[in-house]
Amino acid sequence: MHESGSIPVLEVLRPGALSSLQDLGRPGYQSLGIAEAGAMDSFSLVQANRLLGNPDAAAALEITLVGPKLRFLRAAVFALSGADLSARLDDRPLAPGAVYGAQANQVLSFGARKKGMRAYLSVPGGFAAPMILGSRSTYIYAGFGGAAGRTLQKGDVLSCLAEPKADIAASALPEHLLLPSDGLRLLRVIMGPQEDRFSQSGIETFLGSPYEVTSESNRMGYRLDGPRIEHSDGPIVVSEATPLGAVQVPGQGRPVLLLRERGTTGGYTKIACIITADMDLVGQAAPGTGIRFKPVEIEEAHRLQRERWRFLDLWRLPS
Amino acid sequence: MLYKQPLIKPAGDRALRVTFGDERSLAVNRPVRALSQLVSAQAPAGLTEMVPTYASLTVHYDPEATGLKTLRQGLEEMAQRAMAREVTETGSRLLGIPVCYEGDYAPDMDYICKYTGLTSEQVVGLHTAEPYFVFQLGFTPGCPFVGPLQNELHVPLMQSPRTHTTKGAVAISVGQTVIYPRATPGGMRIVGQTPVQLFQLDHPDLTLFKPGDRVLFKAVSAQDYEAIASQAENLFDGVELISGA
Repeated sequence: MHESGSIPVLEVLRPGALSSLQDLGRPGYQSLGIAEAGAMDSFSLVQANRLLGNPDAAAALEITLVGPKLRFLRAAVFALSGADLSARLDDRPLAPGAVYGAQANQVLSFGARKKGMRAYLSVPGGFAAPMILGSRSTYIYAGFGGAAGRTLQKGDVLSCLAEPKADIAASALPEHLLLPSDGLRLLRVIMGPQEDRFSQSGIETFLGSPYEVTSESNRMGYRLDGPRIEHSDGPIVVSEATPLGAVQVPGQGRPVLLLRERGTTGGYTKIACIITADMDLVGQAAPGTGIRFKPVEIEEAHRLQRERWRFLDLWRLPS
Repeated sequence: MLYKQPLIKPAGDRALRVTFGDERSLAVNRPVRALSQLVSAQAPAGLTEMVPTYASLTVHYDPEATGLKTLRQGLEEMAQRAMAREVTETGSRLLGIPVCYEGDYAPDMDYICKYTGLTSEQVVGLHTAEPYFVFQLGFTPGCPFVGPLQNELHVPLMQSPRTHTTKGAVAISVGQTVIYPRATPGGMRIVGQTPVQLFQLDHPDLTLFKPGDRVLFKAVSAQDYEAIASQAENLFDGVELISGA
């Protein structure tokens, strides 16, 4: 966790349910069985970084559902984005999407989930962690990256890569860039590659029914509950690459979304793949969230992704 | 079956998949390897990574750096050439891997013998008889999918997978062998265990195997296993490079 030039800034008093250092991930090694890992909501990660003037790819703390309790070791600025998990600095409530300042010994804690699933905490320069295959992301299920290849533990000390008490103006993201309120999520998909292994009624079930994120959901994947999707020719395929966002349907007929730490190959039919522009919403879908799927064309998916990031690029820090 | 024509389909909005057949066989895998070589050599604009598997090559791209149509046309043409030509494997290695097939190292041996009707000596004899081919790495970092497995050794997956396999566990199912590089969940039947390392972040190769390698399993005693294990800190420690470089 310590690199030369890094400055200790936070002590972990309580780790929370699942807090890990994440950046934009580690693409390029899937042929060796190495999944990308990285932030489940890259849009919010980048927001947290841009609020502090960090590079987009700086590592932030991804905080899941039940947040940690962190003590500032020195005065520092920090930014929060993504889910609203009722963050507090001592007794002061903090909204996501803004820059804050803390004094030494102040405690940052989290409470009830108000919306979303994952909050991001950034510090000046990003958190220090070994750069492994081009990324500082924690690959929890393979045991490397981030803080010693694991989620945070009590007593960990997190360091940042720039002067923590940087002269950064307090600023906040505009409303339209914040995470939407919880509710039914419409996820757009590219059909296939094995949509032809399902019956016509199976396809209609998939595209016409509400599904729900179950508690069997983590950084590898989400199991969904809902109407059974009928195969026409069995659920097994010869083991093949599993792209990020693939919607796999095993024999019991309920979809499994394959996410940042998925197995890089798999032998079940994939009815569709979620478009890149909607993956960050998946990362913020808590158990119980309703989901519907809608097919789009690939060119449309590319346009939607470009548009999403242009909105963020248009936003500038007030100078 | 090897398809008459390669099948090109999108796998999401950032990947195209070229599939050459629907079985785990050398005949179907050959054009996958040929296409990998062609795409590597040509390095089309926007290519971000390639994942070769048993029967298909998944080509990831950056839509900001290439047009989908251009990439697809290039892939179609290369896939035709991959099907047409015989590939000379360059740099294909044969690696000898020690495996202990005894006692606690082989927790599913009794099941495998019962299911196949073979003695454990026969199971080991078959599993060490000839080199297998490394079709793909996947599932978890460094995990090789090896085969084809002799028909006599085909066993079904466990009804409910183990939540923790052992690091180095060598497991079989229908048509294939895998080696679990670390204690992950796994549903295949464990026939033995290797003391060698399969994945090492601070080694330039990262993984012991590459797709296209061949592997010969060699039976070792529990005593030899322990001796090798105590020495096998790095990739290739305890591994015999039988041929290739």
